[in-house]
Amino acid sequence: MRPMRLSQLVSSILWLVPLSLQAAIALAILWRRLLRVFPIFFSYTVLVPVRDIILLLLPFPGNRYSFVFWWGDAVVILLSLAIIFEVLWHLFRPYPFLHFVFRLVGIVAVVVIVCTLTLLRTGPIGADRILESILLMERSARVLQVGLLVALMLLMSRLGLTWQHYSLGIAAGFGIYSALDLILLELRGHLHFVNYAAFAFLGSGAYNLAVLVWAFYFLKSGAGTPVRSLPSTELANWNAALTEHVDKWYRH
Amino acid sequence: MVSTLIVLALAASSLVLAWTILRPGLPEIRDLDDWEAKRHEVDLQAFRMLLDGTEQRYLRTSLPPRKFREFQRKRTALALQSLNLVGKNAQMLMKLGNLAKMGADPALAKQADDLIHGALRLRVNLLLIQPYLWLKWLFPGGMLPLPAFEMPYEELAGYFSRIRQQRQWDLKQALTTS
Repeated sequence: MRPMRLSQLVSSILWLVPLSLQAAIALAILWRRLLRVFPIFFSYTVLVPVRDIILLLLPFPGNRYSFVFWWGDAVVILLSLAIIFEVLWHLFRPYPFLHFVFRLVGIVAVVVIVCTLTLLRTGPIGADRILESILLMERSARVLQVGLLVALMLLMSRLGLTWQHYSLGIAAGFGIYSALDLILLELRGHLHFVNYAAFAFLGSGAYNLAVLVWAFYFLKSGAGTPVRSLPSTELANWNAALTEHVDKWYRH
Repeated sequence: MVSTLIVLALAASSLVLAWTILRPGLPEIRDLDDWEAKRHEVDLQAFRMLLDGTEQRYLRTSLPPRKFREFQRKRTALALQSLNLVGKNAQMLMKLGNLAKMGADPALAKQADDLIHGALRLRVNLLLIQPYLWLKWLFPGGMLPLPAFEMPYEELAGYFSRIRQQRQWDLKQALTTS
């Protein structure tokens, strides 16, 4: 009886923590006037808890429950893909000279993802074919998402864009959740290593981790105190010296 | 099995990258004093000397080949180290620029934008130059001409220009013969 209660308690915590934190994140976005900057992330932050509350009110199992759950899942995945582009747009829009790098990385990411998805075209083989088909489709969407996130985080780390703390938090949170979810989907849908209960439990844990990362970035007090003057730097000279070498080595 | 390995590798790289961008890699920069205390001093002239072609030719002629390669590798490693420090400086300046943009002064915000722009440009240049220097470190004796980004466009433009000239010449020929 006791372990049963403990698992129920843990499930409730895993359900309640992201619900309350996402409500707080949504309020922080409104309070800090970031709605215009991250409208899709805001929609995602509002949609997921609302779906969870609707699901709580619907009878389980039932057609309406399944409808809200699976369609909600599809919309959530689409929104999370759109958020990656939102972050990319937010990072690169102010710098026209980076658009070339952005396009190059975009093309490479798409090519790699298409190749990977082609390799992943495996049909369901277990007893519950419908559920496995859905899991495999979700896996493909997650591969796309993780591929884009890898490209995004690679750019952020190589270009030193980690001072953009809201974008950093969003990317890192999704990076952790999508990667863990993808691993779980692989273990459940393809390798059949975990049962449904463990899959749901661990998936929920991964989502909690992501929400904690977002909460840390959106709820912590302001990004710092503004500085009143800027130093003189040698950036222009360094850029001139490096451009000279880049020109010499890459253009001849 | 191959697809599983690909998916797991992709997921693992996402986790590693998430850790890379989340871990505190840079010293905290909160104001100008922080920048002055934590910036790295890197001599631009010394860096230029390390990659100077004339210097390299002189060393090649005056040192035995093995010694030259050894020496050249040290020079390249030093250049890479300098660039690493310059990259860190650029990252700190971006952070400082971001803090300056938070203030109410529009002139300072414009200055901060320019600073961030310059620092980002430097990071892009570093992305282009570092792979070349790694190759140079691996093959210290060789000259490494690399393919150009613009070359295909230039070639393409030249190709179209030649086609246009050819067509104009053909048209002239046709007109004169008729």
